[in-house]
Amino acid sequence: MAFIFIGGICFFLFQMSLGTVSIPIDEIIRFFTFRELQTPIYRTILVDIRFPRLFAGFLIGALLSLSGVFFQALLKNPLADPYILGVSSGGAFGTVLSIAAFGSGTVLSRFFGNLPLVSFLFSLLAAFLTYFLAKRGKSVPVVDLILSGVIMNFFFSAATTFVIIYGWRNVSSATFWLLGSLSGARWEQVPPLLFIAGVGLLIGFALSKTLNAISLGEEEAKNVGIEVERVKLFLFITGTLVAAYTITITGIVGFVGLIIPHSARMLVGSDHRKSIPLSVFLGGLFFTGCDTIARSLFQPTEMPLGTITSLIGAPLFAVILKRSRRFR
Amino acid sequence: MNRDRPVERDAVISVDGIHFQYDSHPLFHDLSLTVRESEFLSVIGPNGSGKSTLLKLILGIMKPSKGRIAVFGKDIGKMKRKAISQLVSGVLLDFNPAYSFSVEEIVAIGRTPYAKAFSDFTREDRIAIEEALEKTSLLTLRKKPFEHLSSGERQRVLLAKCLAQKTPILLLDECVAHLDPGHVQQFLEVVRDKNRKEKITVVTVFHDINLASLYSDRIVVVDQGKLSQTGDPVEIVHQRLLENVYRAQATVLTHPRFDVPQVLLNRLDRPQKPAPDLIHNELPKSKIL
Repeated sequence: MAFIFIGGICFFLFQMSLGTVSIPIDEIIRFFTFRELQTPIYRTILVDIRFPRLFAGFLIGALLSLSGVFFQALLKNPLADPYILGVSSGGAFGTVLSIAAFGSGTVLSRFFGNLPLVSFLFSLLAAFLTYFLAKRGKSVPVVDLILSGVIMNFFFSAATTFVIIYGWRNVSSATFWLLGSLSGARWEQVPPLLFIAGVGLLIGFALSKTLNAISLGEEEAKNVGIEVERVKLFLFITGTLVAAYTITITGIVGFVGLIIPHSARMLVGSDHRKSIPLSVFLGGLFFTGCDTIARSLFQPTEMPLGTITSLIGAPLFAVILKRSRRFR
Repeated sequence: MNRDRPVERDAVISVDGIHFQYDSHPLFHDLSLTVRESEFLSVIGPNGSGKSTLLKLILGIMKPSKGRIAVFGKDIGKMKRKAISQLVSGVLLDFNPAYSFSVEEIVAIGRTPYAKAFSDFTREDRIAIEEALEKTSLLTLRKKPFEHLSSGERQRVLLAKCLAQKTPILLLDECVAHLDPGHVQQFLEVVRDKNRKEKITVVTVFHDINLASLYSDRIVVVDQGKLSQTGDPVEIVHQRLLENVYRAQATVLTHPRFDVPQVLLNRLDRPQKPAPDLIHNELPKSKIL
């Protein structure tokens, strides 16, 4: 644990030197020890460009991974991730609609011009529809929830394609949202992210034992006193809000919320008291690591972040899967 | 139904005129049952008669459409789930965790009814977990992943989880159905020991009538959604039960060392020899409910 933690922090610091301009490590050390930098411009690059991107990236990765933990406990399905219930395709549709309608001169363009808000609302709309499609009386069966999510994902993905082909203006900007990017990260996004991550982590700690019980199955959870339907609704709402919020900043970045919780479980076991902190930490590291690659290896352009997370994540996950005897 | 049955003062579970249906298929119609303090009660009956459902109703996992279930005189329909889980625990069928947990982690989940948010396991929790592991001979397996265990060991883990839950009532649903005789004996002896020494009330569903007969203080027979008979094993386990309830031809003998009836199935394709000396043919005195 300590090894992972220290290694992670070193890795995080190392990433500060990488980018369009590479900054020597000793300059970064100088910066952190409050000494004068040999090349003063590096200070501006670090403070105005690298830091917000790294910090926002770390927090978003952490949140996606936490949301993944919640969804995997809620759905008791190893394939569950923050996007499985339609949040991502709803958000993508909202975004594309927003871009397509923006500047069209209609009354709606003012509302649709607020891209993050539209994306957020459509994410929530998709999740809400999924939930009500799956609801059976007082309970929400998990299998129905997953199937409803599949329906919503198909529907909104198709609708997204429809808008892209039908009313298209700015294709490259759509790729940016559909495959994710951190290039929109700003300092002012960091405090709200920090706040949400803090609250999310507290919820995670408070619910650890409940999540353990619910992982044994719904009847077993009731057997040890868990109000299962209430917990499921709570996990659904928090997981969805968190995922929808991250989408407004970076677009859809797949794989993080799926593999990081699994990787954490393989490393320290399924007890959420241990796996949640590790998931959150690894999620942040993985996200910034992938972003560093996305922004520094393909200059002068940037590779979409979602492409890198999947390209790196898939083989990494395969290795962990093969090595871990604990995984089924 | 026996409506004017005297209220038993030492009743720990009273199921009172419950109705239950799956979708529109009725299962229980006006079913009542009283379980007395610190008794070892077995529920037997053919497949699909609703034995498991009865246990789930008592656990509060399912709710009756009509009628009332009370535990220690309190209506569980009006209790918080946490409060119920401090009184009743159960080993259920189809235990299938979504992710890989170690033995110790699963047993620790039995402490959930006493957990407070943000707090680690208390001293009391740890003692309960240790005792449960020790009682079920799982101390050496504690770090092992659950899915690497044999079915006998798995059932012991589930029992340990319930023991860690420290409830005065323990419900067991066909817990020994797939186990070899050694594991069956080990499991039931642990339960019997808890029952005798700590006065824990045990209600268990049995497929194996011989085990029900050997271990129980009292047996109830559930047939076609009703409680058809109740009584001690000597009264209940009889050739007539096999014929009327299970539609099976059998020879019922008296266990030569414990004086309880034991069932041997007959083969129907061969001629029978005359009945042996040990035949259990005392007429049943069981109350027909």
